Amino acid sequence: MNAYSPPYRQGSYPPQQSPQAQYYPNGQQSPYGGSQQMQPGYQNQPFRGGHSGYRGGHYGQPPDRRFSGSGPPPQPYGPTPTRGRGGHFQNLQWTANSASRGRGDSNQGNSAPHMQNSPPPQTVPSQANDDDDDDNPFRPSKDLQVEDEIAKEASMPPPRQNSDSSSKVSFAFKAKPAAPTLAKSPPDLTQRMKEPPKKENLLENMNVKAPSRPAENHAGHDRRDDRRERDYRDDRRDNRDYRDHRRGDYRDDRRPGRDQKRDRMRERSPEIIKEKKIMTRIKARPTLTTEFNQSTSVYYRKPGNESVVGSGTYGKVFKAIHVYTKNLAALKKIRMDGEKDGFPVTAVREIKLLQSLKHENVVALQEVMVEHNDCFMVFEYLSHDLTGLLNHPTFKLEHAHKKHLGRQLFEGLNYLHRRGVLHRDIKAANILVSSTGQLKLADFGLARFFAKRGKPDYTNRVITIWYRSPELLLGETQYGPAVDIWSAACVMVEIFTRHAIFPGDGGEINQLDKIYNVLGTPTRGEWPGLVDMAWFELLRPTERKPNTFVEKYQERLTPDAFELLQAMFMYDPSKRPTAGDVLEHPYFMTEEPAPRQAIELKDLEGDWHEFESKALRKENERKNQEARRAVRLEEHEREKAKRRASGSTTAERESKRLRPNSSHGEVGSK
Amino acid sequence: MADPFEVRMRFTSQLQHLNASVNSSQKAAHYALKYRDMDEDLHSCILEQLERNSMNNRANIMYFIEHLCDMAQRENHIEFVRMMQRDILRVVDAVAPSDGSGAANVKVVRRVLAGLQQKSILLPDTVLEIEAGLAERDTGARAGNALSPVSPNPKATLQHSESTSSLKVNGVGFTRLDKRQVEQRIEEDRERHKRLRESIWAVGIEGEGEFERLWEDGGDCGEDERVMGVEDGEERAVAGEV
Repeated sequence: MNAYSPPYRQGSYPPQQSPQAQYYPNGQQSPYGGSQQMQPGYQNQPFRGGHSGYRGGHYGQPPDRRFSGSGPPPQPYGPTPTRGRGGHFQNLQWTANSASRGRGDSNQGNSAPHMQNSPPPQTVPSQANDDDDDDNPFRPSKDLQVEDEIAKEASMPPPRQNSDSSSKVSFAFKAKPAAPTLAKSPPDLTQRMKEPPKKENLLENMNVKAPSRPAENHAGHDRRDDRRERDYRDDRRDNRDYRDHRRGDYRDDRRPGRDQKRDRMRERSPEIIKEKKIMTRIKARPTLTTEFNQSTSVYYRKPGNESVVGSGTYGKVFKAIHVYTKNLAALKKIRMDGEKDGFPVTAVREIKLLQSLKHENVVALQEVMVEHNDCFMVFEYLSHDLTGLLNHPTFKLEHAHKKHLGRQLFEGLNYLHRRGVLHRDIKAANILVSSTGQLKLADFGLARFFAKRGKPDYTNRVITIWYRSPELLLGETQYGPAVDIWSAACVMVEIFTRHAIFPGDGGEINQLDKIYNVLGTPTRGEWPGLVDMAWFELLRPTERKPNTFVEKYQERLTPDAFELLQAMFMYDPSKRPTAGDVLEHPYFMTEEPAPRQAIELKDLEGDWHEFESKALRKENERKNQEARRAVRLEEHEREKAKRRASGSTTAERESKRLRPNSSHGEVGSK
Repeated sequence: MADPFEVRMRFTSQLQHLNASVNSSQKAAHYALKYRDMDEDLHSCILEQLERNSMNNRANIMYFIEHLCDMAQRENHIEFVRMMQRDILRVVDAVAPSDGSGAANVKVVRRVLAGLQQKSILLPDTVLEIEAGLAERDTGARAGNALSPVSPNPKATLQHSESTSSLKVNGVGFTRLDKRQVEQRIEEDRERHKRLRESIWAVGIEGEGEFERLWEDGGDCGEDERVMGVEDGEERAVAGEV
């Protein structure tokens, strides 16, 4: 499916013109409508998606929806939250549709501000305006547009303010249909109409703005900002397209007529209002702190390694802050080195998958951006992960908290499995927890869609080995969601006891031994498929071991929790409960205490991820070592002193010897 | 004209160093066909190495045999194929000995036999016959299987593993197969599986293969689909309001 490629292309080389191109056709508002549609160059970009959704009708849609009869003036930017799947259409920057689902809650409130913001508050006609002007029927011809673009790029490092507003839309509030905000939306609309279509204006404005840009902000950035601007509009369209596409073609037939009408309306209105330009509404330009101002990226991150919050084979994860929205983000840098075949297909897979997901317990991919020749996946930022939390020196989770975390874990899993996604890397370090106790599954680098029926055949080299289920360890390649359940059960034990239940040495053999030591060696009776495992003979245990799970864990768990874990740790994957079953288990449903969100986390200072806790551990180890070394050195010195005291001759010799060494000694003691 | 001794030595070395990659198998097969005038010699090399080397190497040679026969057939030098047909029982015995030491290779043998049958190198009857023998070996192994408490007397289990380990492990005694070998095998199997998966999606150009597959994969409409439909519907509803 070419569904893959588009995001990339788009994301990485944002077609500058795309918005315009898109817009036109959009309502055919432009007098040039017809011809424009023909312009492949422009138009195509947005469609690269190759999405079937683009079937002809779609142009009309956005306006269609926006002005649809339902009365209230369109809330222009309230794209309905589409499941991320919609996202891939355009700019990856934008992708974030997926994100939109997760964040949905906040959107409503947010979109309103945005609307007010974007145009009016800005000092100068915001870029949004320029872009809006795309809508304008009086838009200059294509050539001019191009010039325009060029001009923008050259003369002014595009508008930061805009990026601000737009980014707000894009990131923060996943564009959502904010019904309540309708009242506020009109400004936006009018704004658009008032837009000065003239290039000159734009340029002037731009020039004014230019100086405020961060020094280094150049083409790369500008482009991004522009894009974002556009994106957000695109987004709306996308969503619709998407929906559209899902709905089927039948709509296509009616669209044209309606659209035209609407377009006509639109065409007219701009003229009327145009005189009333609000260019004068000057608002204090948002000022950036020097740090932000100097940031070469719209996502500011602390210099050096300070901003790293995770690292693995996939690359590094940075904590960053959006300089305008001040929203935190986690930037996952896609490793490109050693990629001979271009953009890594694993990353493509991960992005595509994430775009299809939207759930409160699944981390939201906000966008994908290219910067300085690096590609980043931009996620919402969560302060902690389970490993970090469980290793926290003082913070302790209460029973109700643990249950709440557990429930969220299985809610997330249940969602994934229902949507046909295997996570394949469930482990404490991949489970993020927000400072309000909300849990989200992260790191979909190994995830894949699975066939709910039919004969699957996947690689068994998945899941961090401590969390790997016995069937995978025994070579099974035809597995299903039960592998995630096993991992999740391991995580549950960790939540309860703070320790991994099967901490092996990294090899398959030892890992199986660890499992056998707790659960006993499996029998054919409990797992009929056992002997069909590819490496059953290869890894056959030498002795039978009894199940010690009861003695090891029964005491430490409530009866229902124990029973639930026992069920999830069934050797036979087909006997393990599904995520849905788990959620209906008495442990979650009836047993006291009832789950309670760990809002206490908001008082927890600092961010606690596996990465930091590892660093902390290392730091502590280093300190300990140093302390020990210091003690040793001290003893050594004392002994020397003693010896010196005991005989002056030896002391002399000693001191002589000591002198050249002394510098070393000092260094050592430091 | 190459020195027959040298050819033999080189081929032997290639067999000993076979790994899970298709590449290494094909290289060795090429070599054998290049010196096809010494086919009998080379065939005896194969048998010799099968009886001499580690369990993993035997498995690799077994997979190599499939490549060799395939290639020989294509290059119209069916001598190799004929000799293999003749000696297949010996080969199977060497790869998965009846004493249980090659239990981990039984699945390999099965897979290769199936492949050979598919390529019409072995007759279905022959394969069936061998399969029957393997099944016995397999169940024999199962009866003495430490994993199975169904096994009547635990002692048999112990004895069995002892015999396994004494054969496989050098003096370490009472453990299972050598750890390094096991790990190597796991990696090699994964590598082979990866290759296999490269072509797993392919369907014949005739017929409705692709359709059938999609149809199969599609699955039934169940609760999950209903829920997804509801979710989509909700979104659509929201969209409609806008």
